[in-house]
Amino acid sequence: MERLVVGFVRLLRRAGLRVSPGETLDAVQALAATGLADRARARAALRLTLVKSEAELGRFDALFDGYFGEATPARGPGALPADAAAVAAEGRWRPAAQGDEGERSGAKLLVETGEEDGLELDLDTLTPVEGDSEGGARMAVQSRRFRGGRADKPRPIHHTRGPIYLRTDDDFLSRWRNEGVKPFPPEEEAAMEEVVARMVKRLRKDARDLRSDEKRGRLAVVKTLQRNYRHGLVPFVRVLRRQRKERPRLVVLCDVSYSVSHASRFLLLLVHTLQQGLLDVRSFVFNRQIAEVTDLLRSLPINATLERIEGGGAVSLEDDSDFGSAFLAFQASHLPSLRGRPAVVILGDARNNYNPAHEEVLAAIRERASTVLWLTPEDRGSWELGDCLMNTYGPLCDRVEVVRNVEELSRVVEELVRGGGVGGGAERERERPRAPAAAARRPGWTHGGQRVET
Amino acid sequence: MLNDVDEVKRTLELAGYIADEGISTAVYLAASMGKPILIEGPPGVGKTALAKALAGALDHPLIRLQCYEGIDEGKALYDWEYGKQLLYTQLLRTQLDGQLRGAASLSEAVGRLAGEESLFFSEHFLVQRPVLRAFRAEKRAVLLIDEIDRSDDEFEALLLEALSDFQISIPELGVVEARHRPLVVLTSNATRLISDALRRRCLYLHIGYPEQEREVAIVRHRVPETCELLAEQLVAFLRKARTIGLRKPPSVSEGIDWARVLSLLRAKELTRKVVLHTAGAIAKHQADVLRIHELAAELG
Repeated sequence: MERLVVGFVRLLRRAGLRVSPGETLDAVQALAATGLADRARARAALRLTLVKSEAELGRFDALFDGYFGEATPARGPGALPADAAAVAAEGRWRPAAQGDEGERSGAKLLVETGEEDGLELDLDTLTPVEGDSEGGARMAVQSRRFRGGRADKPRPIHHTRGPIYLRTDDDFLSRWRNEGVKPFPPEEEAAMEEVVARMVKRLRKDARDLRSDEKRGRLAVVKTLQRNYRHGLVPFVRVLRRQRKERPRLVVLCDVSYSVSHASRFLLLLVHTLQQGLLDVRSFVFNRQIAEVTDLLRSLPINATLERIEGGGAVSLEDDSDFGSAFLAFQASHLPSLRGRPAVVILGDARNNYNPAHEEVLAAIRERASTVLWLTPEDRGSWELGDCLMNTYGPLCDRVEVVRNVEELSRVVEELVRGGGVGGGAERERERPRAPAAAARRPGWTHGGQRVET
Repeated sequence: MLNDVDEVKRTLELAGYIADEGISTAVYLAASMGKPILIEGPPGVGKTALAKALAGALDHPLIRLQCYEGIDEGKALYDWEYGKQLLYTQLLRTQLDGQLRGAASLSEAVGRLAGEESLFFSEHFLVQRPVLRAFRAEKRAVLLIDEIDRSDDEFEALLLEALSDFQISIPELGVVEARHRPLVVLTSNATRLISDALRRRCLYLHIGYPEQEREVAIVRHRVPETCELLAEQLVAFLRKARTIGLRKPPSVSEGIDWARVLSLLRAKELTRKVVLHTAGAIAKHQADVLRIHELAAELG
């Protein structure tokens, strides 16, 4: 029985489920307790010990049926040619030939038979799928885009039983081609959730550090006496003066013109996820006009929000983007209403269509902000080409970063958070390389090892 | 009582809980392996009810810990009773004076006082919060840690020791071990991702909406007045309502409420009119009520 369980665990691991040795032990123990006679019960026992989240249940069930299926034929790599999947898929359509190198990485098979709709199989771990009477299971190939990194060619390690038939109609193909551009697949949202969860955790920690900083103030004599009245004025509990209160605040300005629509989707997804968290986030989208979308993001699911914004529901998308007038409008109608000193994140390619730059407005925004971060999807090399004003706006920001996907975005945002950029502001002076506005502000001073903001 | 899976199933049924294979296997394994069960699933499918039924069936005390944001060890594990400690030092002042009288030097006095220190950090001054209470109970208890996803992740980490080794380290006292290993049930609505560390220490059980037959059985068991036909129609309607994308899909508990409402109204059959009048029992938002009305129109 141990060997059986270990073999199954190996299969699960290959399919991407994380199973620890401890869980394997539990599984053996559980299986010993329930016995092997009853299939449903054995399945329940393995499921309880080996599966740790709802998302994994589907994959587990498929693998369980494959592994503990009745009359399993000779298994092992020798049973079939090495690239069985490619062989079977040839003829009609071959997943590996579609798209470029990046799109092929981490390819998944999405099974669309009547029973197992939506079941996803990693191409690395191809498992048998029963064909239907009309000539096979229908499979859809979906690639997880934007993840990068894994450029491994999909290859079947595991055995396949029987042929796999692929049938693709035009309607389905066009849907597949649009996948990367159209709604976010759930796993993309999940990846973003993970990134944001990590960020939020760090931000919370910052907020706690801030609170403990607060407590480092001088003794509040009156409050200490009041608090200790019931202890006969013996100061068991000391109360310290508060120094300052600051919450992490974020203001996001997002260019939604067609030229950056791909990158802006990511930022909107990020902001949408952040808004569910603890942060005080205000988000704006602009093209030529600017509009606040905080409430929209808060009330609608992400794909509906994107639809609304891309349909021109927030700002008109007919015009060419104009950063200068968008900044002017922001200064006029929103800047005075910002609370505290937020971190401002601007997303855009700074292609201004030869309109006036109004960089002085960006400088004014920066005066009110703790940090200004500019994210651009364009490579550094093209910043001077054409109508790109990145070299005008760039020096006015604390940082400019090139961001094209979730991973890059998470790296940048994490650095921003780690550097104390959000909320803190203590690191500000050090982080600012070229700052024309720095002279205008009185520098802070220190007293008794403690920093005093002026 | 929990000696094999079928027995678990029967025991739970006696307590009014109709379990399926997965649930009864989970309870059986939890009891035989001594592991906590982490239950995830939509609200109202009987996660908390399982713990209650378990406690009722086994005649064990149910100790419940409701989690919320900001819950800490002082609320969940144990706390020191500062007030009582202070009061005792005040009252025992004369005794203390007697003890310390005749001490040759200050350091000797401190030494004598330190000898008595353990008195003030003994179980006498310890407030037992739910987890410790379940560990120190006279008989085996069922510990329900409800809606763990509402707590912070620091709190999860705090529970790890208690859930894997059934012991609590109290710095002043040392390690307190459980007298009887309680049956631990954790529930989560998956509003937040539970950490892998906690998942690893638990049996993971996902309870979804039940199949038609089991749900009919549940409704009839909880509301015996409901006749078979009505229960079947009602469950079929509920199952359809869950697929149309309501803001708050009706759960098993709503189904039971609805059956109760219908039995009060002495309805024998699910007709359009009946649904229109009682939609409030299963729809919890105005928009949902309208959708339910649309769905009822199909009933004719």
